[in-house]
Amino acid sequence: MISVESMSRYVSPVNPAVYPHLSVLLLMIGTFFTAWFFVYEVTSTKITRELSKELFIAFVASLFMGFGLLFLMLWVGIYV
Amino acid sequence: MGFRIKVYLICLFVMLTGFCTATSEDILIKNAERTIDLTSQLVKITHRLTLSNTGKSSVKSFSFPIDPKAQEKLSYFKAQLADGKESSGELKTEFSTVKGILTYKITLSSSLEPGQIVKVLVGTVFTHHLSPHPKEITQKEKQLVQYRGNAYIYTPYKVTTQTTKVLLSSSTVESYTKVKPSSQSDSTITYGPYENVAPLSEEGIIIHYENNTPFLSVGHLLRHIEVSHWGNIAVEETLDVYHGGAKLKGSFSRFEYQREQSGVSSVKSFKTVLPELAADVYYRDEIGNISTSNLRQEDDGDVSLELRPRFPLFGGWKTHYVVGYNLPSFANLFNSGDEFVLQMDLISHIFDHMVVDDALVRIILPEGASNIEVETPYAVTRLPDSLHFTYLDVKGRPVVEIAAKNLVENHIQPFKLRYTFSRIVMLQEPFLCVLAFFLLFLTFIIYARLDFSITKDETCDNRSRAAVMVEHIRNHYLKRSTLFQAFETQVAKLKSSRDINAFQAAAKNITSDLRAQILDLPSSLKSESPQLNDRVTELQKQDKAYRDFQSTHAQLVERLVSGKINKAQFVDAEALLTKKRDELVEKLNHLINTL
Repeated sequence: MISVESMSRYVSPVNPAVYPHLSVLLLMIGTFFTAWFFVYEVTSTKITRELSKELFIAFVASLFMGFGLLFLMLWVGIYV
Repeated sequence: MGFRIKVYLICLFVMLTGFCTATSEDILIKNAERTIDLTSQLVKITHRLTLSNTGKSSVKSFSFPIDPKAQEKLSYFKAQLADGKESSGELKTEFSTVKGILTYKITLSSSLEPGQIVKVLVGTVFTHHLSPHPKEITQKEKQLVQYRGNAYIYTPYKVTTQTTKVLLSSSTVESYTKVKPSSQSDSTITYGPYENVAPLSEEGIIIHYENNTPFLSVGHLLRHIEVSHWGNIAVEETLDVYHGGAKLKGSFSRFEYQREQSGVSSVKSFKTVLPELAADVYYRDEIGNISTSNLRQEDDGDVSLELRPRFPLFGGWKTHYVVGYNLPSFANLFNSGDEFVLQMDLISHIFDHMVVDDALVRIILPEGASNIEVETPYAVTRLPDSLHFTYLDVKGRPVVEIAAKNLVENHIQPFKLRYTFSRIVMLQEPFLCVLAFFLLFLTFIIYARLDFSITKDETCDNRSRAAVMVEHIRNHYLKRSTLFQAFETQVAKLKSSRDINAFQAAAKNITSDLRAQILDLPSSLKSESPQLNDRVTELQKQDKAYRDFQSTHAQLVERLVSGKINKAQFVDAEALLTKKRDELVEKLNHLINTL
């Protein structure tokens, strides 16, 4: 016998009302870092390029873009 | 020994026979009232039985067989105590096929003592039991259906007195079998009361009457429930609805249809009741969105969707459509820790007096759900679990499939599905996105490092390296110019404030900084680019000259402040120095720019 009396109703870890704001904010920050990465790639020469700096910017950019993309999908209605 | 065994065997035999016949002989139905509801496409029969125990032992259950002519069409069976209270407890029933007859064994809540009576309410619903007669009608004609039943209740017990009331959808009755005493008044036919009818007696009746109520049935229902732990439950129903009444004979005339009294048995629209919190409702088919629909919020909170298919449904016509909506997770999903329970209706309301021939319910749980347990309110077939792949899935989402046949509105009851899911697994979805982006960036990093040139271009390399040096030197001198500026400001301050000590302290700081900042060039520069080397040495010479100038200027101002020279001399000396200073600055700037 499965009983639900002792259970509480489930709510999402993030309030669905903030999905739009969260996705826009994260994507904006992510785009900024992506732009910084591409500018760095284009303006640096073989001598001035630093792998650690590249990887760091790429990691932060992908982190923000990834989460931003997830919240964008949730906002649009693709409840993944 | 042999004799005793014989005695025991005889006793056992007597007991067994006594046991077997106890149920059918000890019960007498004192009064039976039967209502046959034929107002819609369903046949709903309600029996109100007053049972009395005429035997010597207490009776715990009684059997209720279904008329063999109708037993395939039985959809719903329910028994409860009829003690005047609306919410009487439901009695446990189990069915079995005895001698080819479907029989329900109803267990009473408390055993019936000898001489006691109990009132029981038994309800049955039959689908596709009304047959249209004539089978085909033209657009103008009304729909007439036939009901074939029994004037007496089909029961293995003796019935002292019984009455049957038949409720029809209209008062137009073509014919009905008259079994004395029977009478018709308006849209009700009364059969009975009949006294002392023997058990399992049959008296066939055929009622031929007009029934223009919607005869819609759902041929196949596919109900898709997708649970997302981001706060949403998506429900999508794909339905094949057909009109099961008298088929349309001849052609369909739209002109005639728009006049009155045409196609009275056709169905133009029907109303679906959706759950209270349903949102983002869509109604579409293979062509696309069907705009002829209306979503309304009723007074009692229900959300009703009035659907008007693309064409009216006449007998034999069918339509196929998809209705979907979103529900918030807090409406149906419960949890305590890592254990989740989904409680939802197994099938939902499609239209009033509905008949679903075949239903398949697929519940898609989030990826990582395990220990799945399902509890259904009535017997259904659970098909093996499968996997569903959709957005951001790695292993696939578990799908629970439940199949059921011959369902009516009474089957809209909740089921419970329990599963275990650790919330941390939800993070797999955003991290998959992050990984995708990171791989994209990595590709760029690798691409930037790829060198597909066929020959090694030395001059290009040297030039780029020289350019790097130039940038470096330029930045260095920019920094130095700020320090020079600082020195000048100090000198000016000295002129105005005449505070030698403060000036000397500040000057010392700046000069030490300047000295520490002497540029050190790599030794290879001389060999690689001699002109650059020359220019840089020139720059350094000028830099030294500028520093000398600054110290001379400082000394001059000090002398003025301490009164060693007078104003006129100072002004002359300063003019000379300023001219030299301007020349130096110009040269420095020129050198830096043409580096």
